[in-house]
Amino acid sequence: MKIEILYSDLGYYYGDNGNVSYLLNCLKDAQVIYTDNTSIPYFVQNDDIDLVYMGSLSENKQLIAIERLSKYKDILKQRINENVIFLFTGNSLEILGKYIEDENNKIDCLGLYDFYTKRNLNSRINYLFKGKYEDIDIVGNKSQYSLIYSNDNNTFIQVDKGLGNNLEDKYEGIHDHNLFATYLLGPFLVLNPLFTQKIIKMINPNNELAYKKEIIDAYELRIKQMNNPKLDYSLHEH
Amino acid sequence: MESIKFYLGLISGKLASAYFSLRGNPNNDRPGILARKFDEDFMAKASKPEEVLLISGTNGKSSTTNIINSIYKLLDKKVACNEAGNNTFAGESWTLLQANNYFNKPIVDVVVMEADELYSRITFPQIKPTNLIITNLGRDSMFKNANPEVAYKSLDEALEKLIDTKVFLNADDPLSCFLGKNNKKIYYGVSNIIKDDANHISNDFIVCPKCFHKVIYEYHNYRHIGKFRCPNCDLKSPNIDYLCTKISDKEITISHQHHEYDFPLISNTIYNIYNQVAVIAYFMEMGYSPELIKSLLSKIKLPEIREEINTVNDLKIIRRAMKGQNASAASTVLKSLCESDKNKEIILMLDEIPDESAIETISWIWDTDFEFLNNDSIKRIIVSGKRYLDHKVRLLTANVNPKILFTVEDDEQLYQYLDTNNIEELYILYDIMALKRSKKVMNKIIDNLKDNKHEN
Repeated sequence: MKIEILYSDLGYYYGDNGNVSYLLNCLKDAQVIYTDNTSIPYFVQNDDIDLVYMGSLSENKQLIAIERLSKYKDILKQRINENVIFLFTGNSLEILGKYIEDENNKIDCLGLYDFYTKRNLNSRINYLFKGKYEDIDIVGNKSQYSLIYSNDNNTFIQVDKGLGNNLEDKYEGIHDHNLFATYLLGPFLVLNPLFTQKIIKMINPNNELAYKKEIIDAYELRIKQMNNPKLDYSLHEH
Repeated sequence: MESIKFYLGLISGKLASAYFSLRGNPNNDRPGILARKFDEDFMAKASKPEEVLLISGTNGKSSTTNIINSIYKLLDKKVACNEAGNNTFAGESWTLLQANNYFNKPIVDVVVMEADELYSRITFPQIKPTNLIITNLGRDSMFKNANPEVAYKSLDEALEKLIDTKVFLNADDPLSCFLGKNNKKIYYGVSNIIKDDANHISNDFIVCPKCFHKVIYEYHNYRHIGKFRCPNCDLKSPNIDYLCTKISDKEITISHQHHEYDFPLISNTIYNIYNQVAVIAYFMEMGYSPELIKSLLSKIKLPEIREEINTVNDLKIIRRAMKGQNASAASTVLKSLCESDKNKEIILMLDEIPDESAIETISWIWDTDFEFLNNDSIKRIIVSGKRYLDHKVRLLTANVNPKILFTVEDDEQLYQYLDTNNIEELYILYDIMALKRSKKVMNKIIDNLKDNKHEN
């Protein structure tokens, strides 16, 4: 079992370290490869990788990640088609689209999927989220400067409440083969143990959730609280 | 017309301030909102005394502001200060209302203002500080601050317009020490005396901001605070003007221009030592003698909102603020617990939202080093609050022994799990929003302990 954590040296933000931490608690026997931004990703030169993860970056560091990965976008697409599991959370999702646009710049991205990102650094958007992937309730929260506008059919989560790809879209994120890309923070894998269970069992059916009872208890309580019709899904500053 | 708008803001703001003072709520900053409602440029137009000091940065603003405010008061200076910590537009305007009379003439000698770093590009050029202390930058609430680079950018833009402002920078903070390119800069720091080699789950400074290669640290004092250099492009920490070279139980030693000066220690936590070094650097630069600063510091205590210590039946009970939603501040507080090997019991009250009105996000707890609680000296941990089940998962993944971990939703349930036998220190770590709850819990524990002694 081999797990690659991509560019964590650029500093994952917004709790995304929790995705790594919980995943490694579930997959204690996994060989973990931390690839820094000056190195060639393991998945580029090797086809025996089970899962590649990348989390949220600052806007400046996101540029570095785009530049580094641009050289490998063909092999990245190939690995996706080979059913390697890829998980992108937070604004690392943006890298997979066509471009990121703000008031001053238009930054070309990898162009693997048919969406683009509009960013406004003067407006932080904070939302709770509830939706459905297959038969799994997905919960989480979003905190971002950007919205994405997608024409891509590779949708991930159907929105029930909260913010989707943008203020109108009823879908959130990208799902293609075993690539899952979502703006949901949370951290996503901790807040959604049933999804995490699905992922780790894709690697090996014998894999089990770490602290299964405790994490399911926390998940069920959260779902119950999020079903409260009075709950305001837009988040205010803390 | 412009002038009328301003004076309407000033007069109505001051009247509103007087009203809130009469109602026993003198620190209410709504008068500041009112003043800005009349005139958005209120802060720019309000008169300022000769000395206007701003204190900004992610962590340590309130403590540093309150220490400096207290020292100025001991010096018999009239000070306008937002000591309650209201540090955005409202609080800053409120402070300038206190600084002036109805004719916009300064009635204080000094303005000492805690100032939010995120809005600095808008507010600082209006306030035009003579001096600015930046404590540090680090990850903070993601909802407002996103990541530290956003605050850096705002401060950088502000300082481009404030070339006459003298800036006091933490030389050991690589995230803020390169600010103020065109300003007169004073660097403060602490030498290699802490020897922190702790691993952190999240690190705010791994790669060089110039070339993105991994940096090398000569030493860390806590988190990303320390002396670094980049082996690829030679970017490195600046030289330090005011360097803390020694820390003992009661004193710190500051080296400045080849002289060494001893000062009383206000708090032995490393993050408070950095704040204190900044305070000393500031007053020395203002021309006060080390001897005078020393005598003034001996009369200073940290504000009670941050820390309160009581001793009952030989048990030391420490109630210490630990900002929720702020992983860098919270991790630093958790790290401070490992500095003593005394037997400890910990109560965590970290949720900001105490009821069903909203669901608090827990991203921050996964950026926070709860791993420090996996320590032999910690005999019991009790978590109380609405997100108790989320904290339980986090603490278990931090390898905290499940046998010493108790989690409850309601504070009233926590007392049944307290066991202070063989415990030397009981910590109550609380989010600022849980201040009242933490005081109530502390008082009840003290009463119970006193009752038990009485019964025995």
